[in-house]
Amino acid sequence: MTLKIIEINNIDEITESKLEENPEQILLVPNSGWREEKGALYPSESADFKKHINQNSEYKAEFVSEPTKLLSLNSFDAFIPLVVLSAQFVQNIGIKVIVGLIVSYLQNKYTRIFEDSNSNVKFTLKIKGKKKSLDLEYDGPASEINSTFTPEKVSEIMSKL
Amino acid sequence: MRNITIDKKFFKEIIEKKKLFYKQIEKEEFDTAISNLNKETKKCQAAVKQNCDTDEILCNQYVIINCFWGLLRNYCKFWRFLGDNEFQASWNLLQDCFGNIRGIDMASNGKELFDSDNFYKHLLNIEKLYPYKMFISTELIVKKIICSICEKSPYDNDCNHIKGELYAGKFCINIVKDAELIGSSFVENPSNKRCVILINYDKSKPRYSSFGKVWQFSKITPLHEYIIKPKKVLLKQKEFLEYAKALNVDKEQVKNQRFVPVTFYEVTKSTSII
Repeated sequence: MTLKIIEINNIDEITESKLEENPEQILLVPNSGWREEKGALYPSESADFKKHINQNSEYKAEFVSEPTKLLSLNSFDAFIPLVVLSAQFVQNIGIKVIVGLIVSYLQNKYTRIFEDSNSNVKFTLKIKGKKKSLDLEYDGPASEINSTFTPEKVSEIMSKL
Repeated sequence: MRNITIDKKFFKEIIEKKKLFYKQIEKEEFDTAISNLNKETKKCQAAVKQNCDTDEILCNQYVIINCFWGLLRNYCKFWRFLGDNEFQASWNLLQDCFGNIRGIDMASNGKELFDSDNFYKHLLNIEKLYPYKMFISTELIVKKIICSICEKSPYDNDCNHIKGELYAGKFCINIVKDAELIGSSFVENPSNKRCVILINYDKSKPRYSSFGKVWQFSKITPLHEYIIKPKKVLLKQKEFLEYAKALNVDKEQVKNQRFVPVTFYEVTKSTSII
């Protein structure tokens, strides 16, 4: 299991301005292309993931752009879109809440995935800070998502923003 | 809708019937069991039809009960394929069984009533006997998709249905109307394990094929776990050559040997899963 914390300098302008408009939202951002296919591609589960957040929490998830094209894969490599959050929002509600929403989505959808240690999932959370931004890339068993975000790890993430 | 609770009024009937079906399955009376399970499914389908406009909760319960009958029916069919040495077809039925368990898992009290944990572990163990370790992941660009419940795009703000959930007795699915295949890749961790690379084998000599362990498993009693142990045996050269042909083993090294030592796996019956 791995959780990579990568410091990045900037995020794209549209996402940034959407986040500035409303820092209290969870932005869902598409992949930028896949193989030869260019342009914005949302993972095919994006609609369900958005509904899950909106129906099961007090927070609001929005697509950063109109999902016109979807990428459908028969693997758990890109099952949800990139999740972008403002540092202010993360500081207010805590990163574990967002992680919890991803876990509860998986629990609802793939109940037994947590019993299979071979079932890896990959997802990325992007947190936009005032000066720096972070990419948190998770790649590992679904059952270990929660335990990966230890209080020490969360402190480390928050200190970098 | 999730967290459906099966009403206690159904318990007695379900428990009695499942005992009967388990007996039939253990005795390998698959045709009788399938015929009876088909009758149960018809009853559930009629109840769903009758209640779909008036009682969504009841309706969803019938769908979940029917998932259990579906699990037992697919399990019977799986064993029938095993008996015919149709191992590739049996793999697909195994996956169908997992699909039925996904339905049962929507009931909060499904684990106890339908023994779904035991079935899940049992099926996972059976999966390990198969030679399929890599799967094909198709990569599609989907241009148009609709929700089976409201027929709107699932991305439309008016569509609140979530794929895989139950709405008035119907599972929500997303129907792809327009898509383009852009590629495929091998993955170890697919969301659909039916996309495998087909393996040729001689159905008349399954022991010597990649499905040797599955064939051995097919000799034990249904609804039982298994124990697998490596076993060294001496094969006559003629037998070894059959084995070598099926598994692509080097034949040259045994040119002058009358008997060749080979390790097979012995699969024997263990505890009952129910």
